[in-house]
Amino acid sequence: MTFQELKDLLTKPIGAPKAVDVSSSSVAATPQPRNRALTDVVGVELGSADSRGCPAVRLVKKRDQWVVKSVGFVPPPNGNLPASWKELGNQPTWSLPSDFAAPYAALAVNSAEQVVRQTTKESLTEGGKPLVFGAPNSRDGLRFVVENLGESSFVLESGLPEFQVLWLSRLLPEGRRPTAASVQTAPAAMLATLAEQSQFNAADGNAAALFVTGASTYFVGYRSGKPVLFREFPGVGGLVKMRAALATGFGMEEKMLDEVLDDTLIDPTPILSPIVNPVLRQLELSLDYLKSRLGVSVDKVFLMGLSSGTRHWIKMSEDMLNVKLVAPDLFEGMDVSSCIASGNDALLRRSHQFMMAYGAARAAMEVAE
Amino acid sequence: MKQRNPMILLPLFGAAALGVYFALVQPCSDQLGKDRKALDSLRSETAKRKIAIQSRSSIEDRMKQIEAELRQFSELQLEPLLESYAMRAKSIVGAFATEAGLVDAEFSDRPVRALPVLPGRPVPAALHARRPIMVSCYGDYAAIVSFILRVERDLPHVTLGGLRIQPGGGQNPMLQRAEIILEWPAKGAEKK
Amino acid sequence: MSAKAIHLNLLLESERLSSSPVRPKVILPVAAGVLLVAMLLWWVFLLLQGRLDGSEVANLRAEVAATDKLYAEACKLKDAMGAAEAELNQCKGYLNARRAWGETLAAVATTMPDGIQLAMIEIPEPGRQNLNPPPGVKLPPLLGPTNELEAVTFRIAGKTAREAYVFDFLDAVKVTPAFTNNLLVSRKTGERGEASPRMHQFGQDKTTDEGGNRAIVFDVEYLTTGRRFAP
Repeated sequence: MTFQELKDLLTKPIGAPKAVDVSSSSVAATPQPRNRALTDVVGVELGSADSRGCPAVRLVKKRDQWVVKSVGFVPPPNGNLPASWKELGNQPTWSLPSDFAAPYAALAVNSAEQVVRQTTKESLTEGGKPLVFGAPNSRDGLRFVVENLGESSFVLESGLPEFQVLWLSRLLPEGRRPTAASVQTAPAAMLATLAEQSQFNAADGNAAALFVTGASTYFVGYRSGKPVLFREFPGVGGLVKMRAALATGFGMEEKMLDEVLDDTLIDPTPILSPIVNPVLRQLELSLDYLKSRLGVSVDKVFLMGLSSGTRHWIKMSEDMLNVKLVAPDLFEGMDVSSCIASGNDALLRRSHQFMMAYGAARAAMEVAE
Repeated sequence: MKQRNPMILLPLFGAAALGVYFALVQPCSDQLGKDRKALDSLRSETAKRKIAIQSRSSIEDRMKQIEAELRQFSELQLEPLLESYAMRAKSIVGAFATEAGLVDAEFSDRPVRALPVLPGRPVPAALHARRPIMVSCYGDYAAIVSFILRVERDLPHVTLGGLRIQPGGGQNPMLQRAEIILEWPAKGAEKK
Repeated sequence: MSAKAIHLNLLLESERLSSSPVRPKVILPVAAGVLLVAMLLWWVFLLLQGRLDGSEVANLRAEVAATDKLYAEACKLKDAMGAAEAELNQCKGYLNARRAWGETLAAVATTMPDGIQLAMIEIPEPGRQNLNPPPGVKLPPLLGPTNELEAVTFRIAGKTAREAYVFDFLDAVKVTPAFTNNLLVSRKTGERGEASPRMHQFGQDKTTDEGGNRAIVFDVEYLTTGRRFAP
């Protein structure tokens, strides 16, 4: 499905009544207050392709120190994200293990019906509909949030169908830890993962990042820490497709791939190249655009989302594009002693498998303006 | 699992609590109050009865004592002589008058006087009274006084209820006329 | 220093739920539930208490019924005793109210100066006793006077040629026990009632004697403490 087809699909009226009329003038005119500073949040990625469960990270802010209290995979809820209003009746409730029982949860959701795209303000305000930045809006059954992309007329739109947001808001029941404080699309959640990166901050927030997610690969350009360009690489796909192709190429099960990709004695380049090269080509185009049109010049690109084989991507990028890729430790500079004590240091070594979960938690803990 | 709003239980429980209070607790409490009052009343009644029954023997003893004293008193009472109290009095003190030197002693009845019966107190089983008898006589002052002293000594239950001594008139200036009223205890009127 | 993280939150503030188990919409129903249970327990307690009390009431009623005859007899006996005591008190009252006059009368003879001619000695008989109710009042007659105290006075009158004899006599009365034991000999007016003695007459007689002299007449009354018919 092309981007345009997806857009057309999502702009069609869904037909079921809205549970919350976010488009009422009083709501649209007044931005929703941001969350006040949360200090203990568990970020969870729903709908990831990982067979081990939902990646989860419990993040705690103690004064100026970030603490990764728990990492791991939690069993998914006993029910699927609804695909229509009709399916909303079967509302499961979800309990997280005690290690992840923070007061609040930030959910990063992979949904077939999600909308995450760079678009224009004009397209969203067609027909004179008011648009609120930084707070939920509603259009044709879709609940979405928009954020400015720099000084341009482009905006970043992230949204889910109304019925899915409702379902997610009730997934974690009241009176038990955690309850949902934040619901984002997974691609929106990943944008916050660079906020604590020293290299990102050293460059004053001027950076480019390549996010390889389960379903797609995204390029995000940052200026002064804020996204100014958001692109989904067309036709490239994401980790699911890549790992499937790698497994076929190597002739092995997917669960063995991480070991193989990290094995220094094995050269997976012939098998990896057909998968990585299209990504690199798109990367080159995106970097050009970022530099020429938006004036952001970067000397490295953050490679996010790969739990293994990053050194191959780095080499291929240098060889092909002379572009330096860096795959930072997601939890760089954070206190992970609690995870090590729990015996999860192996999970910590592949920190990018928790990218969405971490990004969701980090975004939810952002201090309100 | 579907989540229900627990607030729905608030009016249910609240209404049920009110219902239980007004339909069950309050009537029960009222009844208990009545029972308690009845109980207190019965307890005091049984205690009172117990005391009354236990004190029977002491009351009987006291009754005997009273009756003995009343018998003694009744012996002092003036009884009529052939339906005449004056004649009875004459039979008792006539000789005293003569021996004292009083002459022409005449005994007559005076209106009987009831003894006090105070309100708010038990009414006596039998009423008692004062039976005054007037002794009109002549004699000198010493004789009169001597007679009165004799009566007071020999009949201590008889008391002087009135007296009038004045000159007797006639040729003997020493002779006084005396109207001496002597009071005896007597039976009172029959209670109606 | 960290960069600001972008947060594209689709959740409305109103959709956020509290993770605290302690919140009004839980506490209030729980409190109502507790109240309901408390009401029910209270009711059960009252029922049990009522049963106990009821049982005791029945027992006491049976006890009362069993003692009816004996109690009636005891009450009757008590009433009879009350009446008998009242009768005895009446008799005792009579005996306590006796007053001896012999010594007083004898003392008159010994203290009266020779110059006085006695005209009268009187201890008035009490007034007529009326136990009937006032006219128009439909009540039965009283069984006896309702006052235990009866006033008694002692009056003495005489004639003398000299006033001094009278004064001597009155002075003698004040100091002679035969008088002071029976009479109120020096009470002034206002001291709990009238004065005693009280002079009814003290002056010259209207008539004269053979020598043309007028005699001095006196008439003095003494109050007493009265007769108290109390047991």
